[in-house]
Amino acid sequence: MWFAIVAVALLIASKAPARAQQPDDEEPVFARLVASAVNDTTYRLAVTLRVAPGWYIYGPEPGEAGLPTRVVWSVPVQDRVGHVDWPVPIRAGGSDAASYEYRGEVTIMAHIIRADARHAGGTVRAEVSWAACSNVCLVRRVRLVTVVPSVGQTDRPDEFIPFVTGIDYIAGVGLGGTDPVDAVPDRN
Amino acid sequence: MVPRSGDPLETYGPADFDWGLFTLEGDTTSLRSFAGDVLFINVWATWCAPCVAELASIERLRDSLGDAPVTFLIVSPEPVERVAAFVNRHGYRLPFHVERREMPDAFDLRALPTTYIVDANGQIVLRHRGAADWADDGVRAFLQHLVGSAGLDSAGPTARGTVAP
Repeated sequence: MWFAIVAVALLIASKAPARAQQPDDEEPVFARLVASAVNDTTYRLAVTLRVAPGWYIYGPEPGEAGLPTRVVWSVPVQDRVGHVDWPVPIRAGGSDAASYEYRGEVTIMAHIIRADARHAGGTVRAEVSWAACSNVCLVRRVRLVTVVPSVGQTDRPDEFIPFVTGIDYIAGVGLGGTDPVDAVPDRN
Repeated sequence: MVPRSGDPLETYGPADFDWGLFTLEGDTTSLRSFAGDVLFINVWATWCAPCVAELASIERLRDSLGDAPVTFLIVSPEPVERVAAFVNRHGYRLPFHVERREMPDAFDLRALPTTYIVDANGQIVLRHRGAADWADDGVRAFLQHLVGSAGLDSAGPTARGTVAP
């Protein structure tokens, strides 16, 4: 199991941009996962997607056109994924083909019920998929990894949590809108 | 976007015709069935707004070619039911297909929409990522040039690339 975690972490690290953390037309969305403690029994996982100017991604309910942005959360056994906050997307398009989009920077936040404070330091993951569009659409999926925060540990400084670019190109089923990534939270 | 008729053709390499497709009626076909034709292949999806935005211009391009034997294949990776429902709802008149297998690597599909023009010798002579206005004199002239270079007759589009109005 830990081999897989290390492999993913190395893969993410190898893909992380070395300098500027700004998405562009080549890779229009960067993603980041931050964990922080709320109190003794709850912590938060926040996925932030930074979208390049001129590009947009779709909301979880994309409307007539669009491919939904999805997040699958993986937390230690017995911890529980509570409610997930999605920002309200912007409505775009005409009445016959409205879509719901995010531009700029968007943060999706999951509230996790901690079963045992001894889980601090364990691994949490978020597998995130999206379609980013401008005059062309790119489908991406990333697997983000961080650790369960200790009780009392607040947000970690941004500079220590790099954004990563897309690590998987989802061909075929992904482009077809039947991404196997499921909306139901799973747990490891 | 396209070379002028007199320009030497730059190719993106040979097409791989091992690409299984379904028609919207559910019939099985493959790109191999169209080998030897001048092909206009557009890969799109119903969820992709820029893809949908350019469909009307592809229809106009096809109409403007008249009897020129250019085979159009408008291919989505989505389920056939979804594509058929979308096409019927919007009344598009193009030869829509869906993938039975993923597009071969030779096409280097990375984004939607992507449009390819394949000449009669099986060479990919245009690969364009992103939406465009295809109802363009230059595109039409380029396709007509490919048809003329290949010595294809103008008896009409192949039945394979034709859809009922």
